[in-house]
Parts: sequence; C-alpha cells; structure tokens
Amino acid sequence: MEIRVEQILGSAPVTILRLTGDLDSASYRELIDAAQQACEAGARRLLLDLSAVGYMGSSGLIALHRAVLLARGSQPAESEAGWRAFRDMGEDAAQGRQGAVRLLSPPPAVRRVLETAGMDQYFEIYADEAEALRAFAEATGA
Amino acid sequence: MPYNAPCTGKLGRGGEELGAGMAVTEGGADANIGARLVVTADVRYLVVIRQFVQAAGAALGASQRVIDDLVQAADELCANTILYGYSSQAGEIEVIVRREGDGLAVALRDRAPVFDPASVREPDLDAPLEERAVGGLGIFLSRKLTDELRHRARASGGNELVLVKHALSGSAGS
Repeated sequence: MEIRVEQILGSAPVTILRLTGDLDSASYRELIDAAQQACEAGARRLLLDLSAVGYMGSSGLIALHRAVLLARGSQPAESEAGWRAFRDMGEDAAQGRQGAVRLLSPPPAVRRVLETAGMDQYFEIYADEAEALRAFAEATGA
Repeated sequence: MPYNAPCTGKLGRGGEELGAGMAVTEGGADANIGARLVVTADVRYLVVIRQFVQAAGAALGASQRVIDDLVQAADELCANTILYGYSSQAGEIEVIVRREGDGLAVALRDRAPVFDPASVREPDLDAPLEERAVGGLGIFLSRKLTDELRHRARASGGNELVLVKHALSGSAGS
C-alpha cells in the first residue's frame, strides 16, 4: 500500500492521507503508522482519500477506527487486531458519528464493507474533496 | 495471471502439478471442477487468494457481485486462519473454487486447530454495535456475504470451510 500525505493549512488544518492499493490484514498497519505519524506531528483532522483502494477487509475497518482514536489524541490499546480491537471499535462506534476522521470517495466495494459492518454510521463520507474540507471548517466554526 | 508467491496447484481433477508460481486453471471438460490453489499461510499472500478466487469465479461464469462477496469472505476467513488458527506459525491453506448446484463454492482447507466459525454466536443486527462487534467482525462479514458457511473437522486434521453462494448472480447475502 502506498500512502501520500498532504497538509491543508488554514484555520482548520486538515491532513489528507491518500491511499493506493489494498487495505487488508497485510497492509492495515501502514495506515495506522501513517495516521500515528501525522497525529504525532499535531494533526487532529484527517481526511482519508479511499478512491484508489481496491479492496478493504475488516482489518481495514480496524485501521480506520485506530485513526479516529489517534486523531482524538486517545491512547489505543496494544492489540490492534482481533477480538479486543473489534470490541473497542464497536464500543466507540456506539457513541455515534464522529468528525475527527472523514472519508473521501470510497469505491462501491469499499463502501459496501463499511455498510455491511454498520460503520457507515460512524464516518462522514464525501464524494467531493472541497466539500469535505468545508465540513471540517464548519465543524470547528472556522 | 502473475502470482509471485510460494504456491502450487493442480489441474482440476487431480491433474498435473504446476509447481511454484501460479495455480489458476480451468476444469477442462467438466467446468464444475473449478480450480485449486495451495498457498503459504501468510497475510502477504492474501492478495494471491483474492486474485485466485476472482479469476476462478469469473472462469466459472459467476457475476462480479457474487465473486466480490466470495473474495471478501474468503479473505476474512483466511486471515483468521493465518492469524489465529496457525497463530502466524508455518502452514498452508488450500483454496478450491467450484460450481455447487446452481451456484459457486469456495472451499478453504487448513491444518490449524479445529475451529468452527458457527461456534461464534450470530450477531444481532438490531443490537448495539458494540454487541455485534464482540461476535468478530471478519466472521460476521463472511456470514453476511455468503448464503451458506459450512465447517467440518478434517479426519486428517485441520478444518474445511465451504463458502457458498446459491446462484451465479445475485445480491449480497441473497
């Protein structure tokens, strides 16, 4: 998986992670690592561009959730895979839709995974990048 | 189709061993035979399994929607086998794609400790998400995407899981 990082400066700075490739059990840690690096550098708003993701498995959902925890400044549990992570993700998602991490242009197959797992209720999903950036700004009152 | 993974395959009905490289083959005169792949149990080769199910499903005439569902379910269950069944120890996974009745089936065989995904309780879609998640997201997705998910303990050790879609075309979970 290739991940390109872009910074959008302004009153509500946004870090865009552009993913290319499959997001599966072999690669999901790369997304977690990229999100961690961005958040350690101060990022608190992440836009994940999924338009070039060909496949996403449940491990990809775990990585998306981990990105949310990182963007919020939470310390995730050590176990990023397996039952514990599923439980952590479910407990967090039950709190409702969050705005720290938003998704851009997931292909239909990726969107179906989000919907099948019920995670489309947890992420704001946009088809247009400018609209996503505006939503971040509006959410912060900028 | 280029596979750069340590895998071996046989032509349909116990045919010619292909050796290292690729394994996708058609079933010859009997299209129901399908194709067989043996791949090292390593998450790096999940992509090989996905490509194999895609190619074999297409060769057997399944719609892309049916293939997508079986690709996803096979990936989830193979990932579980690699990470939790073999616990990242050395092993192999055998994948067979074949016609079954009017539909398509993917059989997954391993030598890992016996584990029946049906032993994980069915998530209640009306339950809060946290309760659903306890059931295991990968298994949950696999059940949701297939019409039938059969398990048997192999007499020689290990598991066989058979993932079935009852028609060659149709929507998810139908």
